[in-house]
Amino acid sequence: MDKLIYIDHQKCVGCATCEMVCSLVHEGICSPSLSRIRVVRYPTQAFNVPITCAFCEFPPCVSVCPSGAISKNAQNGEVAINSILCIGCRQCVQACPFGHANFNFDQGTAFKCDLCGGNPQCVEYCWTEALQYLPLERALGEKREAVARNMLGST
Amino acid sequence: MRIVIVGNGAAGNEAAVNLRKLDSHCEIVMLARESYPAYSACALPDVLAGWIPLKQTFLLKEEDYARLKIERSFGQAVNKLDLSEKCLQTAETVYHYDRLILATGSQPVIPAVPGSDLAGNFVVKTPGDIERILAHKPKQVVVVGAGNIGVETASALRNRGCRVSLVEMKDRIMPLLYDQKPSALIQKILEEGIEVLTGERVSRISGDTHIKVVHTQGQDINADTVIWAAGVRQNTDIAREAGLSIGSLGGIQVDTHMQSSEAGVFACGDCVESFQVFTRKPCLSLLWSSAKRQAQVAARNCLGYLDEYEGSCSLLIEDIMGIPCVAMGLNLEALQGYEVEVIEQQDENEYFRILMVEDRIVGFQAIGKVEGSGAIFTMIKKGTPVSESRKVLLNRRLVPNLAWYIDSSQYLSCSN
Amino acid sequence: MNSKKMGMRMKRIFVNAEACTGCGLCQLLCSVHKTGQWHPALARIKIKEMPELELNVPVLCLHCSNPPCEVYCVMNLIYKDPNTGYTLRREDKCIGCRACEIACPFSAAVMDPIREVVVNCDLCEGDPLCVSGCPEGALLYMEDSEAGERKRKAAVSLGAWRASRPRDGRGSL
Repeated sequence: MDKLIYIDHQKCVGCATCEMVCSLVHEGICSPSLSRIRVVRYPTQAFNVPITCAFCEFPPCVSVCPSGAISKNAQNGEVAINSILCIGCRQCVQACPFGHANFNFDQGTAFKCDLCGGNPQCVEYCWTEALQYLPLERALGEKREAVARNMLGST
Repeated sequence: MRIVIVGNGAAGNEAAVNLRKLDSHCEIVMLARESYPAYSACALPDVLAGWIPLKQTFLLKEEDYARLKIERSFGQAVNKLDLSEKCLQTAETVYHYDRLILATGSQPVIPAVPGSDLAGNFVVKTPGDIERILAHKPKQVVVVGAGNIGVETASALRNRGCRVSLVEMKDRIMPLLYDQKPSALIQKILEEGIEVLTGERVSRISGDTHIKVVHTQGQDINADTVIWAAGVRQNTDIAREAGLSIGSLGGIQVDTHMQSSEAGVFACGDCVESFQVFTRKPCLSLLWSSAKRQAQVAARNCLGYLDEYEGSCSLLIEDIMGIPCVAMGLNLEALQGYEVEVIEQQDENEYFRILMVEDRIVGFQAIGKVEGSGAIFTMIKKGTPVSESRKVLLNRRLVPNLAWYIDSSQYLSCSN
Repeated sequence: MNSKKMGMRMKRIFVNAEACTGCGLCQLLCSVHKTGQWHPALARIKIKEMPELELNVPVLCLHCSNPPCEVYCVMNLIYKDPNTGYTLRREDKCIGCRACEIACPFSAAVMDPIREVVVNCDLCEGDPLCVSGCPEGALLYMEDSEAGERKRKAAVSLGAWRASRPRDGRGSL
């Protein structure tokens, strides 16, 4: 995995554009419950955290899936669900530490982020830049820079 | 859309029910040579044993077919399939189809042994066979073929009070399912009530109109009934004559969508040649569960929904004289050419053996205990590396969601 | 085209194994409710013990959308209830062959040793007794979406972001 969806939750305004776009692109309707990316909102504390797949190196969802429907691609690191093999037991929903693995009631199968084949639409349409699709090194660089700026500012 | 299904076995009926589940409008027509409504062939030995009444083996009633709007034409054989005209011919009628599902199944083979036409020769395949066997009132029975059907039939008849001899051509019972050692253990259990003759072949059956003596190479067995469980043959005649491609093992060739060489013609059940989940080699899976799963795939693809067959993996559980015996996946014989690691354990009441190839469980045989084999079956089908499974079992964060692994720990914790 | 598998919006039992003390009350409640007898062997919920990990894991039917047990049943008696989405069985037809027990990855189909039929959790027609009876709250009865939301909230609150968040810089989960 050379690139990741870098989430800067402080920029997230909780507008749900990413959720709408994701479900529209994948399911053909605007419904946050069918979105891969989900925003956790804390209205009283005034912050929002979008959560999507972390593409773990050792994904629990892959281990717990009894039908072998979820697999991690050794080449590009992507974790994908083959809905054909999915028996709909929802163990992945329970096992994902981020609550990312979602379940489609109508289809009876689990679904998860597929990075839109390399061009994540949630990132494309995020107008606050809370979501960015960056190479790992650049994301880390941004973070380091922020910490550095903070340290400088505090001196 | 008009979908015609040929055959009313496990596959035919499962396909029909699945089609109706997914599409309430399509026209479903079932044609079959047999005139019974859907029945469970697996429950027939239980009827022989006297555990359940014959009527319990019927799975769908007349009114179920009406409710599901399935048009039936049972009791007449399909003589010809015309792929270019998209029609099927029976003796009386021509049926046109838009999509076709062939589930013609298989039929037991009675070898051409002198005397195999005498009264008292039976097979166990349909409810009619069971009725005929029961009407014959067997006392002394020879069951030929110690596959799972043979063994189940033999112990069922034993339960009914018959004196039973089981004759197997190969050197052990259930040679396709179990390895030498478990097979010998099961034979020991069986021998408490059944005479088991391995490495013997029935050469002749003598009697006037009824069977009196069954001759093998070495023995003469007094008997009044012979039950043939010596294998089955695929019913592929109409497919073959229509020009559909037939695989090397004699089944109708299908892709993973259960579509035959002709677009729009699907096949499922005993009559097709599927592939084994581990070796990916073609195989004939003659099991109820494979037939049902294949029928699901065929029905879904028939209506344009995506589904793919994941490969056959045998799973057989039998109650042998009250002791549960489980065989799943492949045995040593089927794994020739692979480097197989065997783990086995035995105590007074239980026995199990795990066959592993390259860190994958590919076969499992257990006697006396069923608990935990579900997880092993899942691992066989999923292809989970054993080393990974062991690691996962030690992971405190994963285990709560891996309830299904826990039972298997008893098997995975032993190594040699 | 999709691979439609007859899904259904339904509540189901989620397990929080960390909270389970292994007291076995759920098993007793289940057994007495379903059979009139107090015996864990008759319960449709089973507590699996992992002493090495100091964990007790309650196991019960997950009501899969495309249940393997349904495929393996030789009597075709397992079905998905079209109204509730539950995986149910016509127990009177069961011949006790135990094929479903092995086909279930979770061993959630259990043999009733008295009636010699295999049974599974039927969620007590929508009001599971094991959930209301669990003294530790180890069993939760909720919809998947709610469970997902709880999970996400837990992930956020677990996140190291609180501690590491620079006062006015940029932070990330």
